[in-house]
Order: sequence, then C-alpha cells, then structure tokens
Amino acid sequence: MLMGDAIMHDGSPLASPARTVPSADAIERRVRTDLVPQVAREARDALRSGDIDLLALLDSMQLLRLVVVVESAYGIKIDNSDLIVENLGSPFRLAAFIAAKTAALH
Amino acid sequence: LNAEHPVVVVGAGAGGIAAAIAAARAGARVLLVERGRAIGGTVVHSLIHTLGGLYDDAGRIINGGLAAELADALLHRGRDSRQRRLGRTWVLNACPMLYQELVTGWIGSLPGITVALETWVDRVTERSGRIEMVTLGSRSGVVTVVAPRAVVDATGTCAVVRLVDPALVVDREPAAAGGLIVVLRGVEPGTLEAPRGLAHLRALRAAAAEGSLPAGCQHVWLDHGVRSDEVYVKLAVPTVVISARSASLDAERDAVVELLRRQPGFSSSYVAATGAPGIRDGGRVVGECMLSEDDVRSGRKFADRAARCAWPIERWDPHGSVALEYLPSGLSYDVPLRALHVRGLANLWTAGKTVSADACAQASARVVGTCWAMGEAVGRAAAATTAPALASASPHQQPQPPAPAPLP
Repeated sequence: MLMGDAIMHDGSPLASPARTVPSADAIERRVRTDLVPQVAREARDALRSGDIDLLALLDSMQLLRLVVVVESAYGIKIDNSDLIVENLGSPFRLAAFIAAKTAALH
Repeated sequence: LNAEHPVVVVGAGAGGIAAAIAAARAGARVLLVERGRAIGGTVVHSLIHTLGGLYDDAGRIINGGLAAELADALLHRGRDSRQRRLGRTWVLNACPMLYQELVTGWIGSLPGITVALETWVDRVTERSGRIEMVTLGSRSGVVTVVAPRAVVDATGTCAVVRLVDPALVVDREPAAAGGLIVVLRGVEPGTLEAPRGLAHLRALRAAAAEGSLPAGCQHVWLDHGVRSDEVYVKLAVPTVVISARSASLDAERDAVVELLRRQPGFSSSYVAATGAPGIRDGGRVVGECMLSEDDVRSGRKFADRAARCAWPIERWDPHGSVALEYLPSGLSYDVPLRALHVRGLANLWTAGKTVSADACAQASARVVGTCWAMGEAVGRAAAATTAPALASASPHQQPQPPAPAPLP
C-alpha cells in the first residue's frame, strides 16, 4: 500500500474531524477496524480482539503512517513528545490518547 | 579438470559469487570476471546491512546450500551479526565489510576459480544456439576465451545478454527508484528506538515537505545499523540520476546529515561510509520460463526449483516511495532453473536480479538470499553443461586458458 492509498482505501473521506467528542470506545473501535488496517491491511485479523502490542505488530514505516492517519482522522497534532509507548503501544492506549487529545480541542 | 572449457561468470555479486563457487565445487574451472575493483556486488558497494531472502516468514532458513552456509558464516564470524525481524520479514543484520571479507576469502580458497578484476565483456560470439567465444576487455588489453563451457551473466544489468541480442532483455518502464545508503557512526545507542525514534524521520519529512530539505528527502529512511552506534540513512535515488553519483544527490545527503546532527542523539555522529547508488532492476532476461506475479502470489512450485523465496513484493515508484506486499503467512514460491536459462542459448545463464520474471515477481525474487540460491543452481547447471566439441573450433583458434588476474 502506498502512502497515497490511505486517502482512498475504502472511498470514505479520511479527514473528518469529529464535531462532538467521540467516546473512547468508539475511538478504539475505529482504531481497530479502520485506522490501523489502513496502514497494515494484513493485521486486520490480529486487531479483532485483545489488547495487542502495536509496536510488535507494526514496522516503523507503518507506525509512522499510523501517526499521520490518526492526525488527519481526528484533526489533532501529535507532537514528538507524544511518541511514547504509553500513547501508541496498543489499540486501548492509542484510543485513550486520542480521546484525551480530542477532548483538549474542545 | 576442464581447463580448456571454463565456466565464465560475469559479475561478482551475490549471484555470480554463488555461481562461481558452485561451479568450482562441481569440478569446473571458473573464470570470474568483475568490472569493479572488488568483489561483493550490491551488498558491498551499496552497503546493504539487512540481508533479505535468507529466511522464511517464521525465521527459518529458506534455502539450504550456499545461502545457508553464508548465513551461518556471517553469524559466526561477526560479533555484531544477528538474525532480526524487519517488518514482517526476517533478515540477517551483518556488516557489509564482513560480508566482503568473507566472500573474498571464500572465492580465494577455491583453486578452481580465477578472478579477473577491472575486466569486462567486450564481445560475445554466438553460433547455432551456443556462446562460442567471449572477448574480455581490461586496461591491460584483450583476452579471448574460446569455447567456454557456459557463460553466466550475473552483471545485474544483463550486460552480456544484451551483447548477444538486446531483444533477450526486458527493461522496466518506468524504472524503479534506486537507493543511496549513508552509514553514520557515533550515534547514541537507542536513538531510533520506536516509538520515540520516529521523531527523527518525522523531522526529516517535515523539513522536506516545507522546503528546508530538498523535496527528494521526503522518502529518506533511517535504520538501526549493525553496531549500536550506527544508523543507516537510506536516500531514494530517482531513476534520472541512478547512473552516477550526482551533485544533487551529494547535496541531499549532506543536508540530511546536517539536519540529523541537530536531532537529539545525533550530535556526535559522523559519516562513516557512503555507498554507490543501488539499482533494483537493471533489466531481466527472457528465459526459458518467466516467473510471474501470479506464481509469486500463489506460491507456485516448480520441479526444477533453483531457489525458494518468501520475500514480499517491493513496489518502488520512480521517486522512491515503497510499499511492501507481503505473501500470505507461511507461503513461499519457487524460482525455476529455466527462469535463469536464457531462451534459445544452450550455455548462457543468468543469476540474480536479472532472473526472467515480470517486474512484480522480480521485485520479490531479487533479494540477496534468493540470488545466492539462484547462483548456486546456475553454477551447478553451468558446470554440467556439455562441453563443446573441440572439432568445431577453427584451427586458428586453439582453446587457450585466459590470462589470470591477480587477486586483490
């Protein structure tokens, strides 16, 4: 998958910043079913359940793209200081991180 | 044994070295011809430190024989060599200089192999489906090899096959981007550790996007080196500048290194080595059989297997971005020996990235481990090629051994 594919993976617009603050559950669902599969199609099955280790699942190129995908999906800015295991290590942690970031926007 | 009918291997990269060793072990006399000053090929000259194609996706050795011997030797000889997960593949992390030392020693230990450095093929004479004569050029003159047992084009660019008939070569259009690798040392260990290490890549890409770095730098990649203080910087080489180290490429490299030096962990780093631009696809031969994208994706097996491969299909665009298409878990495919046999020529073979394949299949099969396995199969086949009937040589062209060149 090319970088550009992220924008046209299933025809739905990628940059759709939420108008209301989404729940952490809803974010985690999207992380599992949409955002991570955008950068790692082959990981779709592994993402279905359990709090898996995203740093083991994704290579650095995929992680880098995930950061870009998350930023544009939620209209947030991820700083270099945010690049820590506590924020990116698993779908649960990533969802909690996104929830905190989006809450800070409102 | 067959001094008058050597196997001529052209190009001393992975495919050529393996072909030479295998042919020599099978009892053939081998002339290994290399245009450059040293043997080793892309791994050595372009500084490849993550050797792909040696393992399957579970990390098991995928090809026995020379490829496995190589992996074993690199792991045992190199204090810092290790098998490593890279994305969803397994690679062998080893220093390119160690690889060079190892293969040079290996070639030198086989009395059946004569190495001719800074030597190239000037002319090839073909008659009724056989290569009958090979004319080699070098600074010290011209040498003609009459009635070679077999010729292996392991040049990586089909240089020999093109001399026989340009129609036997398929060039990629548009060409895939190449890569330029710069080795930095003096980097603080752990600097690239994910996820924090992604900050350096983001900084480079952001700088390329906003124009403070040349636009070409948006595809730059950083990787752990072999030693703990090393970082390998990989720059994309657009196909327009692939043929030579250009000034713009040097400027790009310097700009990237300068920016990195301002990043935490890189302040004491310095450039330890710069590779030559690597070419991923320098043309593929038309073989007796052509490996296809479908063969790769479906894990096709062949009775005349030369190599087994499970490496993902690397899709490089001309500018230098890459997308990996992994094969389904557990799947591998075969490279048939016929894909290394040049069509219609009984004693002309190829080995390595010039394998007869479509662009997509080649983008998986071209990795170094597979090239070693291909080379080994071709070397054996070349040694087993029936020697030409001496009567067919004209009385004025007595078969003569080529002038040996000194080893480095």
